[in-house]
Amino acid sequence: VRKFWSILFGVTMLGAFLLFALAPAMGWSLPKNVATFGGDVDNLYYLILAITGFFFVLTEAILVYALWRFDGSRENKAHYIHGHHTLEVVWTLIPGVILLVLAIVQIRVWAEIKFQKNMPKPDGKTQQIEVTARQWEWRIRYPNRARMEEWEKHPDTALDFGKNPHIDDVLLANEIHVWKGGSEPEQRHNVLVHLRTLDVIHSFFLPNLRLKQDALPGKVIPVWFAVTEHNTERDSKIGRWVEINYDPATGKARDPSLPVPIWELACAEYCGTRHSMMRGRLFVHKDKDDFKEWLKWAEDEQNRSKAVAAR
Amino acid sequence: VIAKLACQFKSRALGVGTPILLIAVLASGCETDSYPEDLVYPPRTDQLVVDKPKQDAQRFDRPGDFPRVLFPDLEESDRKKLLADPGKMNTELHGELNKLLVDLFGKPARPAVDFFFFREKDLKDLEKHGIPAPVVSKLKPLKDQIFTAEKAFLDAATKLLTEEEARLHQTELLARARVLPTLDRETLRLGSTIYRHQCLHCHGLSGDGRGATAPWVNPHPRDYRQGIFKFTSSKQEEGERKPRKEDLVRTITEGIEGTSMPSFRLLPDEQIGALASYVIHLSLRGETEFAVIRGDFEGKLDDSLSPPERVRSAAEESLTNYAGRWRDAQDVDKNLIQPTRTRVEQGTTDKERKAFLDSAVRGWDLFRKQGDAGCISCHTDYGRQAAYKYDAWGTVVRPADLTTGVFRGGRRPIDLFWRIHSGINGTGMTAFGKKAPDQQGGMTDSQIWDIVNFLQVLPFPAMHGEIKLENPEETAAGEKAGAQ
Repeated sequence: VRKFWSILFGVTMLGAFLLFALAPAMGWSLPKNVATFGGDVDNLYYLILAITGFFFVLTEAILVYALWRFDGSRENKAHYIHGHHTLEVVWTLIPGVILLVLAIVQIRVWAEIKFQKNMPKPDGKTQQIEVTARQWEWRIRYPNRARMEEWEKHPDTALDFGKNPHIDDVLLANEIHVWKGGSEPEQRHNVLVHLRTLDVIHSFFLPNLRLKQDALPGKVIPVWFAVTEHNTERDSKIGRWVEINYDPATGKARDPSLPVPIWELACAEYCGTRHSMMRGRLFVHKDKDDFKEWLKWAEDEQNRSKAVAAR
Repeated sequence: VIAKLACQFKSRALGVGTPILLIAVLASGCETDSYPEDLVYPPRTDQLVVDKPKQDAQRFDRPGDFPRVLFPDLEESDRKKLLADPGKMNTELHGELNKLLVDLFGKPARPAVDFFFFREKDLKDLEKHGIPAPVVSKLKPLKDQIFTAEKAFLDAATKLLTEEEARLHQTELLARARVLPTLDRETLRLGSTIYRHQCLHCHGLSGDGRGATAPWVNPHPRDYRQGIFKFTSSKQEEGERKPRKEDLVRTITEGIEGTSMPSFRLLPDEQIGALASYVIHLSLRGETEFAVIRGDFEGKLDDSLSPPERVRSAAEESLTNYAGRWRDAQDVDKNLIQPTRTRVEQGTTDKERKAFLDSAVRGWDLFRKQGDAGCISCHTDYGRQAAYKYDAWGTVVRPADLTTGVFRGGRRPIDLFWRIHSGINGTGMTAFGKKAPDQQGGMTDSQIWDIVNFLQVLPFPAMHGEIKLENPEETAAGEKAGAQ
């Protein structure tokens, strides 16, 4: 029984490592990355994981060893090392240096994603949407096709989208529609999001884009991303745009042997009782034409002046 | 020695206990999604709102006061006249009622609307749904008979048909004899599961709008038990109007902007449809309960019958009544409000845009002038200074602030048209449209479209110059002074 605790802890740790090693194979790892900057974020993540993982294993090994070795079967007393300067300097300096290295390594990626001066400018090429969070849903405002065409002709008219809603802007809950671009800087299709909230703090989190940004009351926060893969196509039978292989009637895969590329938009800041259900989805169209066809559908739906059976 | 023993015991218990606890937690997993089998709908204990006060309210109720306080500003004595306490119902009758409600509507885990009937009109419609005329004519004796169990109905129908006919048309006949075809047990069961997951927290177990969150949100969640739904597109008489199922589906899908009802757009269609069915189930149950309790208070129950029969006959009578209204509301040919005129749309050319703005100006005139639509008499200062009003649920609402661009019943032109044409049920917003083209009074469809176009322009100050609506405040103040 004296060795009980060391065995319990040792086995638990071993189990944890085993699970960790298995995770990628079981699909418990990171969701698929589809953003241009996602790879850089992942590299940072793996770097930090490797460093913390190494020290985690090291300290756990020492802990379990100590439990085993000094299990109370010997009569000798512990001796205290309080005030051991060399040791204290060592365990302050090593983490300090690691943090400093991480801080320097990450600055390029941080600047690319979060610095406002590096963000795509609102012009004829950038797609702009406004995302308004509230308890507990996302309302998204799109410029209509005419407004987008106006921007292409006169890029300076694109500047006021965030401040000046138009009568014919399209409003839709919980669905973010964009289209994909290439991964090279000049082929990118940039999306600029004007992020707002009507009530409390929410957090705009798109795991597949490795993108997270808090929404603060009273502020409009710019967020940008560019997607390199698409997941949405028109279902000709029902005339709606849904994820490839997704059956909107049942919410299941059409072909169960294939995956359904559902890319979630989640709230990542606790915002009240229904926080966990404050979810949207990211729909990426294969090109601008397909997106515009969808936008026409959404415009027609919003401008409906005749009664027809809803879905 | 004792201390040492205790220590040893403790560590051993921990050592054994921890892994056992861990395994127990892992093994227990998640509970199932649906309600516990033995749970029943709670009988109604809260006050019935039987009437509306004449005067306006002073303020919204304080957060947390609902549902303890209905009609917050009224004197206790006035309040009493408008409310009725179900606790004062005859105990025996109340017991019978609760038993009957379980019979007819099941339990949360197994909801049902076990209620089958054909009216003359429904028999006629059967042919439309693929039942051959000879079969329909054989079914005529079923007209206006009420069956309160699936089996009883099937037996009666089978007796009138040949074996083959009965077998062939059984599913369709059952579907049509229900209140609505989609109120079958399987759909309702799915609906109750999703309801528990998504809606229960606000709308409550019996759909009473008194869930845990209800006191803290304004407007309070809808109470389905009155059978009144605000946003409808059906043409029935005021007070009898039920929504089309599409109306419920739309409210669930889009949510209600400006309130705490979020959008459930990303739920699968079949779940949203099932939720709508389940809401109809809760509403029918609540409305039947309401009617019987109220009938007892008003002495309208038939005293010559024994208590169980008395309750049953009253319940069946009101249920056929309400169920018929639900059925009629779904009749697209007769009861769907379809504008007879097309709306002047914004268009892309200058000419079209001018026509649109002209229409908006006409709408503006109608909005302001007493005697036409006179919207401004309630939507004071375009709704920015609207008075507080009581609604049919005993809570306080305000006529919408139309300058914000938030339209609770939906922002599509057709939504606004429906709101103006037939009003918002349960509130002071009455119907302004003509029910029939030759009706005296009421606005024509093109007038309604003008107001719709004006409402579309109103939230966008940049467009006010274009229709010379330069200073709405002054204009509104002028109108008010003029009215006085």
